[in-house]
Amino acid sequence: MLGGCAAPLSTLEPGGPSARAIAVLWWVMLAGAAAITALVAVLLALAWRRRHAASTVNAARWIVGGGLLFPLGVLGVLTAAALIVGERLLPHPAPEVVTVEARAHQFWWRFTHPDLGAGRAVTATELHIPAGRDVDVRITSADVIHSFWVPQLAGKLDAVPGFENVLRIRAAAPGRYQGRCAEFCGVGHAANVFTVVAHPPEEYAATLARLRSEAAPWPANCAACHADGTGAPGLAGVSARAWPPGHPLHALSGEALRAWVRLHAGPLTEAETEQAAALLEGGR
Amino acid sequence: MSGGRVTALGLHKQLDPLFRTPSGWGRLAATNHTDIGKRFLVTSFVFFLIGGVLAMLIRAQLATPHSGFAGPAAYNQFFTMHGTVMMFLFAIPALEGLAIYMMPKMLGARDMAFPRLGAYAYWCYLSGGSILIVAMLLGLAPDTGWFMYTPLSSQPYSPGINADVWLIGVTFVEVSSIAGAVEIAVSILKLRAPGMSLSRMPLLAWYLLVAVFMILIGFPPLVLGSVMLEIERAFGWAFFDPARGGDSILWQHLFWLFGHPEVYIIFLPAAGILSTLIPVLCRTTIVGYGWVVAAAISLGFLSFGLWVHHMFTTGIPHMGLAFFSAASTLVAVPTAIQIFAWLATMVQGRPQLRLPMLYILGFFAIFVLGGLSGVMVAVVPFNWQVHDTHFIVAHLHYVLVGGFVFPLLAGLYYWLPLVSGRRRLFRLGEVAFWLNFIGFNLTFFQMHLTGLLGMPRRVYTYPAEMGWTGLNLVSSIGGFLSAIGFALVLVDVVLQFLSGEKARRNPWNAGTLEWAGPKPPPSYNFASLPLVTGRDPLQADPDLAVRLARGEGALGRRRGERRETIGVDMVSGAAEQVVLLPGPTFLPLFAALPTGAFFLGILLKQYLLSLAGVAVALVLFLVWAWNNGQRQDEGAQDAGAGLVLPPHPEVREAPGHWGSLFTLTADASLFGSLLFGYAYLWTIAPGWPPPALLEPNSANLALGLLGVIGGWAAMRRATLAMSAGRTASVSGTLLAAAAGQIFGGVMLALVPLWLAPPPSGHAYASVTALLAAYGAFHCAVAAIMALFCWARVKRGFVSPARTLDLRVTLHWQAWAAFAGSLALLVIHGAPWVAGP
Amino acid sequence: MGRGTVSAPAATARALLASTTGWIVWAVAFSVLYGVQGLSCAYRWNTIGVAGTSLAQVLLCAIWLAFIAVLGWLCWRLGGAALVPGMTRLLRFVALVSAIGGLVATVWTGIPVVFTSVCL
Repeated sequence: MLGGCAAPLSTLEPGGPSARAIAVLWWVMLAGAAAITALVAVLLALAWRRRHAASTVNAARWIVGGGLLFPLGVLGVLTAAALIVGERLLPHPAPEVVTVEARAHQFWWRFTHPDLGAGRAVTATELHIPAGRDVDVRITSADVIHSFWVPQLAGKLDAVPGFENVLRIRAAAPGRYQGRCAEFCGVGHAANVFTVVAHPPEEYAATLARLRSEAAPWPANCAACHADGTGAPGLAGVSARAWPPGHPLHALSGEALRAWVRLHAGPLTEAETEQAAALLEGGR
Repeated sequence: MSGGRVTALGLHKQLDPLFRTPSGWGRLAATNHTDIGKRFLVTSFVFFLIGGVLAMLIRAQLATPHSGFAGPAAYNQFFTMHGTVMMFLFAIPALEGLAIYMMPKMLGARDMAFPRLGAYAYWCYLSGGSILIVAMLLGLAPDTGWFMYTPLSSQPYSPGINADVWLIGVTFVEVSSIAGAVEIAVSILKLRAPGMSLSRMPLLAWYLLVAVFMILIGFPPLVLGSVMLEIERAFGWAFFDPARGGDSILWQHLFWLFGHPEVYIIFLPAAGILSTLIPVLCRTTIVGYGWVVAAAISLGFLSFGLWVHHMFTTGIPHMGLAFFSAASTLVAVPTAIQIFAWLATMVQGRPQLRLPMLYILGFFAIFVLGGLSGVMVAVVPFNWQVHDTHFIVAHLHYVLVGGFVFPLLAGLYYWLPLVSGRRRLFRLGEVAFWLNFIGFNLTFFQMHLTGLLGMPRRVYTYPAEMGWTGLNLVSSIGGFLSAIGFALVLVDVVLQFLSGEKARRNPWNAGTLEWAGPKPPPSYNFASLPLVTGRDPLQADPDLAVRLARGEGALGRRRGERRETIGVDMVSGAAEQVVLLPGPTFLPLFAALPTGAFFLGILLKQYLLSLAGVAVALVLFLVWAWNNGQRQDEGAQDAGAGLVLPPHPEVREAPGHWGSLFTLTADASLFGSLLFGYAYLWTIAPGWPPPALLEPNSANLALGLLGVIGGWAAMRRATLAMSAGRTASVSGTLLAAAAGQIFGGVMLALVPLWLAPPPSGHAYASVTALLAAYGAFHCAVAAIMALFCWARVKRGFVSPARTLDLRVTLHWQAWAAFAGSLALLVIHGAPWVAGP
Repeated sequence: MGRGTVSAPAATARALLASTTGWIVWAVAFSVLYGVQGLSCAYRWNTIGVAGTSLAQVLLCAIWLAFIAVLGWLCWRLGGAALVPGMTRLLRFVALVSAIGGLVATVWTGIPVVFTSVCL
């Protein structure tokens, strides 16, 4: 998990069983591919051996053996493994599955959390899940096709307007897992990122309750668009947020952040600008 | 043959003015396949360079994190245009250009089957491509990816003209590609040297035959999708809008139904080049000719079962994905058969490390890796991680550059002595090869890792902390190396054309017919046509070139203004007919102009311009069709070399008959896609059932069926009557055939105009209207053709022996009856089946 | 020349087409299986229990086996005399490869009906 800091979107540093199964599949396929490449190289080298006259080859052995039987055998095993692993990763009905909702927008994500007694918490850009538990993410889109992807936890699944796709993820341990939109969605696609925060299961309900009840004092200009969290990202949990790499706010601080606030929020007083900037920087 | 022997020079002096393209403005009237083929090839290489510059812009931007080189709006145009230019404006036209240039020479014919159609295809290609490039220079290039997914490319999210530029420009070019495919298919099947059976046909011809049939089946789904999206954007219809019963995934299905076969269409001709060059450069014959043919055909079919592997993350159920995953792994088998056939050939023979062989070895190194990564992404769970990442970018470049560009360059160097008549002087080519090979791998090898580390596609920049920085810099450096490599190839080719020394007649000691003649090839290819008895005619008879030049083959004479070549039985190669070919004419150019006006009018929303374009084009097409055939029966005549053959208007299996059927094949694929779309929307799309269904109207249904079926029955009667010699009733029956289709077409047109709910309200109404419009359009075509036949009969172009006009029209009348009936039954039946 | 043969396709064209019969049957099988899978989920045939499994799976397996039988018959027939007059040795070889290829492909690409989830 420490290595995840070096490449936070790496598929080769799995943080959950789904991503791990896929990573293992990758290493096995890489080994097989290397072996086949070596075989072809040897056969090609055979063509350049010294000889005095043209020879004849056993066409059947080459074409049927090499071109037909060998690939059928290898591919048969691979296809079977592929389908078996694929079946395992599906969101089969199971007890004790936590369900969250992800709604993609141009260019942010809206997450709705389960009602564990305090109502349904709605956040933007950060998805909160319990670690060590199966979580089904019900994914859809408010506008164009996006894709929900947290490489360290699972493969991706598209957010398609008019449909709901379900992705099962599971974080083996608590921590922060980077995610991003993985289907080209327009000019803001590069910055369409989010984080999955996995909490120790015993703390999960309390976290959701805190998100639900938190009332951060945002300037009125901000609340005007962002208060209900539907047309624009909501403000719940923002003051404790660490913006993921790639997000417009990730690298902004100091005067640059204040400039961004002024550009984004329209007319604000000096105090309101400070207030907003402080809240946006809060999670660093 | 006329009395007295003609010398080779004398025969050349007779034939050359007949087949040569005129100079000056007359070059715009060229129909000779050598000139049209070269134009396709040169234009495609120009577009390749443009695509390459766009690639350099991409790599310049991605070389460093947070680069300020280009913002997202510009970058989105870079990558969209790079893909669009390479796939539509380079790859397909290059392979069609190769086919048009090479096939008559390799197969022993004087020209392609439909020289004017080839010229028209070129003008459409040039025009469609120009629309895209001009838009790009104006900053209006499409910017939603080369596959234009909806809803991003729909009106609300792409309000500018950019998406329309793609839809119009690409469709215009597709018309060209489909026309080219029809011509290539007929030419390969019918216009070969006598005695060249399918078993004796060069493998390149087999591969091209499979590829063009794939074009006929695979391109129409995208044409349909583009038409649907353009209508949705321009008129507010609802095909892809989930809020009104549409489904954005339908676009993906239609796109990839085209898109996957497209890449095999691109690969197969390259495999044909390899199958040609490898035996020659290894001084032996191919191992497993029959296996290679069977493998190519298998690839042609199997590749149509892969398209959903581009959609593994869209939420389709696992069983559905599994069908396509299994097919995607299986497709590696026929590919492997070919690879092992080539390896066996090289082991059997004695390979020479000449320049084309370097590119062949480059192919093996690169394409095999691409194929292996392809098998990896066929695995669904793995695909779920690497889809839409740079792993896919790496994979696709390995298969396309390794599998198409490298073989193309091998073929370029192999055939350059033929095209230019000169030999290479400088060793530039070897330097260029190494730059290309090293540059390519430096760009794309570690890009697999970049993708595995999470870098998605189509991002204009990336943060420094992702671990992608060094990898991207290396890729950008590699890209610039490749650019230098390709520039050197260009310089090398130009130098070869300019430098002095003449090439040897057969520098590679090849056995195929394109090397049997002077270099560069004369305008007529062969002064007389060979009688082929084996697969390598030049090996069997090294003096063949001289004997053909002296007129000892078939058609070794000039008969007035007639441009002749031999038409053969498709399978056995037995000579059947003398095919009479048209000469240079401005008609193709003149017809391409109103075609362009039609497309531009839609693009610029000047619909009167489009209507005018259609009208003028229609008149020109009728003039074009009129310039065919002959006014009297001639019967079989001496064709030289012991052959006595009828001219093609008097033969059942004339090229035009097959051209019509192959065009219908493409049309049927479009109709099939439309029916698929109808069923898909009905069963899968959200927001069904629609608020209003059409009221089933039995009068409209019955009258429509009566019209289209009656029209067809009349046409059939007229054709049979003319064939049987009962010519008196034919004219009246033809008018009845036209009337029936007009009546049926009106019934169909009434559906969207009067009976059905407005098409912009719900996808049901949109697709019902489109189905009816399709039927009505074909009724109109069939009616116009029947009236054309009536005029032809009147002027004496039709006789019991010359029924080609009637039989071709009968194809289209039958199709109007079939498609029109099916459309009416579906339109009126579906609401009835769906119930109240 | 044209008498009475207006609508009869040429023998050689038929031979060419016939050499791809195996693949054409596979293409139909593939399309039908994918189509029925889609319809099964649209009309919820995966929720109707039949013989210990779902109606959808029974239907799909039956279709798959039917096509395998047809292709098996085709392979057996092509092992003997040519199906269609006018086939050369090459075309008969291609026809046999198409039939066997079509059979293998139908088994291979259809096997998911036995054990994968229809609608998940």
